[in-house]
Amino acid sequence: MTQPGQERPRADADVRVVRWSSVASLWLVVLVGGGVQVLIGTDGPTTARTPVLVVLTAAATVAALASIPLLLRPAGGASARHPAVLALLVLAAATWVVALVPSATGSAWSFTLAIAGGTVGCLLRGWVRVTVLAGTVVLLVAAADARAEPAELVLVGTLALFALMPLSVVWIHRVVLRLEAARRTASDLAVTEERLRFATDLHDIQGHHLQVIALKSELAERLLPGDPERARAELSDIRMVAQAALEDTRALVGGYRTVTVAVEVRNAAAVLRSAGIDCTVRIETAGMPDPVGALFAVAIREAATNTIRHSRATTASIELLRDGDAWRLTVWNDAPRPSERPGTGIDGLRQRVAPNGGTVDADRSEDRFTLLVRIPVPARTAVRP
Amino acid sequence: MIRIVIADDEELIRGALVALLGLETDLEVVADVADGAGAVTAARTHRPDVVLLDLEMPVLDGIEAARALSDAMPTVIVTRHARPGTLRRALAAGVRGFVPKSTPAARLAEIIRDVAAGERYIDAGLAAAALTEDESPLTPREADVLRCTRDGLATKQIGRELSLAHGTVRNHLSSAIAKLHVDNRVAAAAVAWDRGWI
Repeated sequence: MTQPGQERPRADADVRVVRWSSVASLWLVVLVGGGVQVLIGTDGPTTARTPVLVVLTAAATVAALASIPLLLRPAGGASARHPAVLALLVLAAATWVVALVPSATGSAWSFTLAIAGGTVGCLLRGWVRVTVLAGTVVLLVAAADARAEPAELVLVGTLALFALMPLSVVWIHRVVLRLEAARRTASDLAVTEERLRFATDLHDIQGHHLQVIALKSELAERLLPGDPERARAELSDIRMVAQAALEDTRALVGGYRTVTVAVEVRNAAAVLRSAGIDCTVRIETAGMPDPVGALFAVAIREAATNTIRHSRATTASIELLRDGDAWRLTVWNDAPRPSERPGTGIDGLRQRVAPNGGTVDADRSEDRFTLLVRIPVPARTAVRP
Repeated sequence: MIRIVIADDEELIRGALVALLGLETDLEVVADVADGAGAVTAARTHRPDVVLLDLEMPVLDGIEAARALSDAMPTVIVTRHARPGTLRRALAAGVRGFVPKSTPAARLAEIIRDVAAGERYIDAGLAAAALTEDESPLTPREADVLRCTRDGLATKQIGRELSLAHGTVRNHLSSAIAKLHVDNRVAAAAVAWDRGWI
C-alpha cells in the first residue's frame, strides 16, 4: 500500500540526484574547458606571457568550479555579484585580454571567458541575460583570427557552445524543480479534495438525520401532555433515525475492503484461534476465478461468525479444496448449538450460490456441525489445464 | 436476577445505558464507572454476573480490563468502531461478547442474558470487518521486535528480552521497516500496531 507520506522522501532524493548530476556535468564542462585552453594555448612557441596565462586559467577554472553550485541552488540562483562569480569574471576577462592585447594569439585562451559569460548569464534575467550571452559570443568571434581557417571556425563554434551550455543545464534543473513543486501542489490538493468530499458526505448524512431528530423531538415534547401515544410513536421514530445515522456513518468510515478468499480463510482461522478454538486449515485455491472466491468468502464469513457466536466449540476445521469438477468448502466445529432460528444465514448463502450451480448443505449432528458448499468449476476454467 | 457493572467514560451514554438496562426486569446495574481501572475494582467488589466495558477508556482500556477480569466473570466489550486486530485481541483476552455501540438497549439486554448463560456473542458486522483485514507481512520474529519497540525498548534491550544477538535484532527491524515502507523503527511499530499486526 502506498501512502502519500512515503513518496516525499523518494521525490526529494530524486531532485537531489538531478541537482548533483547537473553540478557534476557542469564541473566536467569547466574542467574540460580549462584543460583544452591550456593544451591549445601552450601548443606553439612559449613566450613570456604563457606562464601568466596558465596561472590565470587555473585560477579562473577554480573560480568557475566554485560558481557552478551557486547556479543550481534549490531556492534559485545566487546573486550575480557573488564573490566567486566576480572572481571568475575578472580572471576570465584578464586571461582573454592578456592573450589578445600585445599580439593576438587567436581564440585559444577564450574558453574561460565563454564559461564566465555563460555562468553570469544564468544568474541574470530577461534582456540583460540575452545581452550578456550575445556579448560573450560577439567577444569570442571578435577574438578569432581575421584570416580564419576552417579549424578556427570550429573552435569559435565550440566556444559558443561552452557559453550556452550552463544555461541549458540550469534551465532543465529549474524545470524539474517547478514540476516537482506542481506535483506536490497537486497531491496536496487531492488530499484536500478527499477531505472535502468526506466532510460533505458526513454532513449530508448527519445533517439530514440530526434535522429529523431535532424536529421529531420537538414534536414529541409538545405531544407528550395531550397525546402520549403519538409522542411515543415519535420517540420510536427518533430512535430509528438515530440508529440509521449510526449505521450510515459506520458504512462511510468503514467500507469493507476485499481480500482474497485465502486471506479470508487465514483471518477466520486466526480469529477462531484467538477465541481458544483449535482450528485447522487446508486451502488450495489455485485457478479459482474471483467471483467464485467471493462466494466462498461469504460462506466462510458466515461459518466463522456462527462458530464464534453460537457455539462453545473447542475444535474447528476449514477446508477449501478442488474436488474433481467442483470446489468444495467444508467447515465444521465440534459444538453445535440448538439454533433458535434455524439456518437464516444458510438460506441466504444457498440463494447466492444457486445461480453458479452451487449447493449448500448444513448438517447438525449431536457433536458436530458441518457446512458443505460446492461450486462447480466454470466451464471455461475447467478446459484449461 | 442478572447483576451488571457498566464502564464507559461517556457520561451521557453510560447514564442512558444504566437507565435502559435497569428497566429490564431481570437485569440490575450494581455499579457504573468511568474507566477501566474503576471497572476492575467495582467488578471485584460487587462480583457481577456480566461486566459491560467500553473499548476506549482512560487508565485501562476495555480489553486490558477484560484481561484482568475474564477468568472470574464474563465480559462484554462495547465499541464504536473496531480497529483492525481488536476482535482478535479481545477474544484472546477472554471477552465473551463484542457488540457495536449502535446496538439497541433491548438487544443488548438479550445479549447480556445469553452471555450470562455462558454463550458467546460476536456482532456479525464487526466479525466481517475482522475477516477482511489485510494480512500481516511480518514474520513472528519481526512482530516480536516491533512489539518491544512499541514498548519503548532500545535495540540492545530488545536483544536481551528476546535472547537475540544485537545484529539479529537490527536485521529484523530493518526488514520490517522495508516491508512496511516507513523510515524508522518507531514508525514501523506504529503502522504494525495500527493495522493490528502486533
